[in-house]
Amino acid sequence: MAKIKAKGVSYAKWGYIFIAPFFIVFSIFTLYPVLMTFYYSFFERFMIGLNQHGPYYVGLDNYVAVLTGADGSFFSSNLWQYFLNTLIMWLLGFVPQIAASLLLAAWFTDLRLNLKMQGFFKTVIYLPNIIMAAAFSMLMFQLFDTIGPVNATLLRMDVVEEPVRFLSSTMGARGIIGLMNFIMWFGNTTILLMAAMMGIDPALFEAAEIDGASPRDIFWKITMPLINPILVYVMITSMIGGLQMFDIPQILTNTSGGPNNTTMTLIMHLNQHLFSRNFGMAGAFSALLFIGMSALSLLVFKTVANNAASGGPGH
Amino acid sequence: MNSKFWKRSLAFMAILFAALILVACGDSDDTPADDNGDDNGDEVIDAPETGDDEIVLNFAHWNDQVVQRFEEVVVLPDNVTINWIWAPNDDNVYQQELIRMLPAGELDLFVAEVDYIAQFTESDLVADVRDLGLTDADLSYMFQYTLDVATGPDGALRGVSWEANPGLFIYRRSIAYDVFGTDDPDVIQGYVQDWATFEASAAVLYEQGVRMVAGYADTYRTFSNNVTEPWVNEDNEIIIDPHMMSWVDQTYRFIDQGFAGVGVGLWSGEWSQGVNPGDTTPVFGYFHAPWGISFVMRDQSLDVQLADGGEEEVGNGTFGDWAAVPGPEGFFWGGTWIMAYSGSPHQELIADIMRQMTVDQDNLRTLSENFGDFVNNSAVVEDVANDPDFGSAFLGGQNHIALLADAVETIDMSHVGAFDQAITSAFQGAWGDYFEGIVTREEALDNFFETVTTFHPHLRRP
Repeated sequence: MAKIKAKGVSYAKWGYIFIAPFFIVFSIFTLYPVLMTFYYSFFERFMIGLNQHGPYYVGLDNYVAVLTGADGSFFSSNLWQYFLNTLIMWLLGFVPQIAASLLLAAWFTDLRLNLKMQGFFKTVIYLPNIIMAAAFSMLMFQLFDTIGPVNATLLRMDVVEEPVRFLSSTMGARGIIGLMNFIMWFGNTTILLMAAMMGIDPALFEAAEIDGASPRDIFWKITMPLINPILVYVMITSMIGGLQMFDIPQILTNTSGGPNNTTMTLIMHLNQHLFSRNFGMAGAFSALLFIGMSALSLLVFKTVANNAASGGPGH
Repeated sequence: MNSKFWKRSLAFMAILFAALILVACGDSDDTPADDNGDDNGDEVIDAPETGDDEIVLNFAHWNDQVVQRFEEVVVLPDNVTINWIWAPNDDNVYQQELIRMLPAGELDLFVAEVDYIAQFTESDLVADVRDLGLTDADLSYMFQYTLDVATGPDGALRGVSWEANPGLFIYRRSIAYDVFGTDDPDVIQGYVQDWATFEASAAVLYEQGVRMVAGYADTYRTFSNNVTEPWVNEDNEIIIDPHMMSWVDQTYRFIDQGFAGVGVGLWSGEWSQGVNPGDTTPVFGYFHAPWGISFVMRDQSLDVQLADGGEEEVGNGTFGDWAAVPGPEGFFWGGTWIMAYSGSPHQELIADIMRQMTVDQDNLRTLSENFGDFVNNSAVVEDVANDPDFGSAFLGGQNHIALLADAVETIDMSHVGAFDQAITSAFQGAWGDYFEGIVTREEALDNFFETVTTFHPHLRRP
C-alpha cells in the first residue's frame, strides 16, 4: 500500500506551495481591499469630527451622487471635468515624452552614429525619475513663483513687463505639470524603447540600407512597426499612470487643484473624499474609476495590438 | 513522512494566513459592524511605558512653538521623557492625524488650534482639565475667551493655553511718516479706524506707490471674527455671513485698484517679501496676532537672518521700522490650546505640565520676555503693560502689550465652529480665483460649496 501511495505523489503540490506566498499576499493586500472598496461603496459612512456617521446601507446612491452634477444631470458631474483635466495633463506630458524618447532611443541604438558616453547620457536622462515627485513639485513651485528665478530672468531679459503668475492660469499650471511629467518619465521610456530597438535584427537595417532606404524610411518602415508591441506597453502603462496622476498637481497647487479646479485630477478628488474618511463616496468613485480604466486599457490594447498583428512585417 | 510534511506546511501556512489577517484587520476600525468608536479608554494599555518607572508621554504638535516654550519652562521628573509627534498643519493634515491617533490611544497630550478645536472640546476622549486637577484658582487669571473656546457643550473645560492672540494692525513707520507726516500710532489709528477710512487711506498710499496690504487674504480674519452667526447652522447648512461678503467685495475693489497684490496669498513668497520689500512694491501693513509679530514678521523683516549672523537691530532690513495699532476691527488669529487624552494613565503628570505651562506666573513672565508672547494671564500682562521699561525692539520700542490687553477684551468667540479650518481654506481658495478674474461670483460660490461639502459630507448648501 505504501508503495502505491508513494507512486501517486504529485510534485505539482510543490508548485502550489511555491506560488502560494504571492496569492496570499495578493489576496490580503490587493484582493481584499478591492472587494471592500466595492462593498463600502454601497454605504453612507464618514466622520463628523471625531464621531463616525453610519455605516448605513444606501444602495446605489453614492454612484448616483458621483455621476450627477449640481443640476442633477449626468453631464454636469464634476467627474468629467476632473477626467478631462487628467487626460489633458497626461497628454501634455506624454506626447513630447514619446517623441523625445523615440528620437533618443533611435540615436542611441544607431550603429552608424555610435554615440560616445552613452552610459553617462542614459544616467542623466533617467535621473529626474529618481527625484521624489513631491520634492520636484516644490522645486518647480519655487522656480515659477511670481518672485522666483524664472520670472526674475524673464523680467531682466525684458520678455515680460510684470511677473507672470504661471500657477494662476490654467495653461500655465497644466503646462508646468505636463512639463514635469515629461521630464520625469522620458528617460524611463527611452530605456524601454532602446531595449525594443536593440532587439531588432541588424540584418534588416543592413538590407534596407543596401536597398537604398533613407534613415527616415528605415525609422518609419522598419523600426516603428517592429517596436509596436513595446509601444503599446508604454502607452498603456503611461495611460494608467497618467490617470492616477496625483502627487505632482497636489503639491504644485497646494492641494487646491487650482485655478478653478482645472488641475484637479481624478485621484486628487478621490483624496478629498478621504478627508472625512468618506469611504462610501470614495468607494463608489474608485469603483467607477476601476471600470473606466479597465475599459480604456482594453480599448487601447485591442486597437493598437490588432494593428500590430496585421500591419507589422514581422508577423 | 511526505504527507506529514505536507500537513505541517499546510498548518504553517494556515497560521501565517491567520496572523496576516489579524495584522490586516488589527487596526481596521472601519468595518460597518463597528460601533461609533466609543472608546472610553479603560482598556487601553499604555504602550509607551518602557521600564518600571520610565514614563514616556506622547505629545502631538504641528510646529516648534510649543516645543520651544515647553523646553524653556517645564521641569519634568527624571523618569519622564516627552515623545514629540509632529505632523504638518498644512492641508489639515495635523487635524486628521489627531482624529486618527486620539481614539487609538496613541497620545497623552496634544495641542489644538482654534479653527478646529471645537471637534475636540465636544469629545469625551479629551480630558476635562478640572478632572485632571486644575482648580478654579489656577484658571482665575486666564482670559475668558481662552476658556470659552476650550469649553465643550457639556461645560467641561478641555484645554488650556499659555497665550492669547488678539490681533493688531502692524504698519511701517517710515512709510507712515512719508505719506501721513507722522509715525505716531495714536494718529495713524485715525487713518485705519474703520473700513471706510482704511480704504480711503489705501487710495492715498496707492498714489505713493504703496500697497495697503500685501494680498487678498490679509484682511480675512478681521472680517471672519466679526460675523454675526457661525458658519454652520443647526441644520448643518453652510451660512455665508453678510460680513464675509463685504470682505469679498472690499477685497475685490482693493485688488482691482491696486491697493493689494494680485494673487498674493498668505505665506506666499510675494506676501513675505512685502515685509522687507527692497526695491519691489512696499506694503504699508499686516494684520497679525502676537505670534505673527514674533514668529513670522521678525524673520521676514531681516536682511541678514539671525542664523547668518544678523542682529535684531534697526538697519537690518525693516527691523524696528514697525508700529502697532488696533486697526479697523478687533480680531484674533490662531492660538494654541494644550489638551489631554482622557484615557491617559498619567493624569497627575499631565496636570503638572499644564500648570507649569499655563498657570505658573514666573514661567509665563519668562515666556513673555523670551518669546514676546502675549501670555494668558491678566496679572502678568498688566505688569508688562504698565512697565515703562518694556518695549518691543521690532516695533521701534512701542509697548504693544497694553494695546493687546485692550484688544483681548473685545474678542468674541461665540461664532467659532468645529469645521472652520476646512471652510476658511475653501472660502479663501474659491474667492482667490474670483479676485484674479478666473471665475465669476457664481462659480466661486459653487466651488466653495463643492469643496466644503466634499470635505465634510454632512454639511449642506442651503
